[in-house]
Amino acid sequence: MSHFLSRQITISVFFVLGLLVCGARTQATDISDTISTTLTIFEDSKLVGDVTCDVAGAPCIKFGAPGITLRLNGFTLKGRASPPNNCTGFPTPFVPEDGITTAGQSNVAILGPGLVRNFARMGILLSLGSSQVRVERVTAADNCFSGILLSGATNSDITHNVSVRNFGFAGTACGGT
Amino acid sequence: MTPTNNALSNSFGVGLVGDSSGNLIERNTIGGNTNGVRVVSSASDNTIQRNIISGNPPIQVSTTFGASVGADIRDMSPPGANVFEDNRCLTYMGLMAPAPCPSISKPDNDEDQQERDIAAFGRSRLTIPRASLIDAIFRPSGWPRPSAGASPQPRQAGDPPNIVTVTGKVVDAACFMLHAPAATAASHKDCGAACLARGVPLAIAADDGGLYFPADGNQRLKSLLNARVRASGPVVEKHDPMELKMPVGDKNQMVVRVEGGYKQITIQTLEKILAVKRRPA
Repeated sequence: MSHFLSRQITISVFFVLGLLVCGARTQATDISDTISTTLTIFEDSKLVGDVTCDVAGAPCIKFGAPGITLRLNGFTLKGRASPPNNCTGFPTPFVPEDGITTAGQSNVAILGPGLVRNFARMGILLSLGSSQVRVERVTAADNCFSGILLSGATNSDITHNVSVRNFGFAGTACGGT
Repeated sequence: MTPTNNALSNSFGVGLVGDSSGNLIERNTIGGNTNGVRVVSSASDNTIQRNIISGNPPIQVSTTFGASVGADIRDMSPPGANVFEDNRCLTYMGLMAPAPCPSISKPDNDEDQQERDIAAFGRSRLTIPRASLIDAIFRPSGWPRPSAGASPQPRQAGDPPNIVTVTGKVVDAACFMLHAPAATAASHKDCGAACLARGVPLAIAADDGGLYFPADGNQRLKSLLNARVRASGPVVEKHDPMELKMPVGDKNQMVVRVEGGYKQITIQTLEKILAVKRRPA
């Protein structure tokens, strides 16, 4: 009888552990506060507060797996640049200090509402090798180069976004819509 | 620092560079950048449509550096390589003739009007402090009717299954029965996703007007909400009433009962249909 009970308990423990492990894989990652080294996401993630990016010469958030979604959730992702100051140079050094990069991953999504601003290069970069990416309802503003750049990306949908005041060279006056 | 025009021109609202192809740039608002949309010579088969692209570059930039610095659309690709359609824009630099800009007078289309109607409906309903319990009964006769001769013929339950291919949009079924146009509008996406998260059934609103409920629940359709799909499998006509229950707020529940039968498809193959890329004649 005790052997039977022991086996039952063992099975239950494994069942609970299994649930916990499965739960961890499917739970979304919450992002907030300050990011000081590139954050690579491997599962659905969302901003739960405004984020300050203090990453030098590299992307702030990078996709590390296909088929996942990053939701800005109404918050702001803010970089270190204040165009035209602190922008990466052109043509060199053209360091990849971007807000969000798909890093060649496919079937990923960046969903607003939300603001991506003040990055030394691109606000959002859909890089070479990325396919079927969705960028929706995002505002990209005050980035030094492009708000949203597709660099060799294919079959992607960029819809319902706002991209304003993206340029960062000394001598250029502020723009607006 | 005195920038060169070349350097300035590499800042843009939305850029298509390298071998970017098959992309859809639609319904974005792009202004105040050195260039609004920039397409390089190697980018092809992209569709840029129904965007508002204006004020690129800002007036002071134009004054200081000259008109050649940038444009609302700066297109360096060969004519015909990419599609520019129904954008509202003022300035264009490129080889396409006639130029797609200026274009400022096109009236809004039906979808714009529909989105405004839905937004207005939402605003008026938000004045109601709490949702109420609603019991609603729907009969398939109230749904959009299939066009003559276009509908696949589902078998009765018990008959040998026939394989049918349906093409349509994955919708929140309850909303579709309440208001079909609202359920299929882009503005319903977030609401539909919230309903899906609470277990509201999905269905395929087929182009022929039929509404097909998957036999396996939301399992295969949940990642395709609002997407156009092509699904194949046996279709049967169900006659039992079906109840769709959905939470309204924290305490209330809305129950929709479908009477008079419905179509159920056992999905064997399922594929997402990519956005249609239209080219001018």
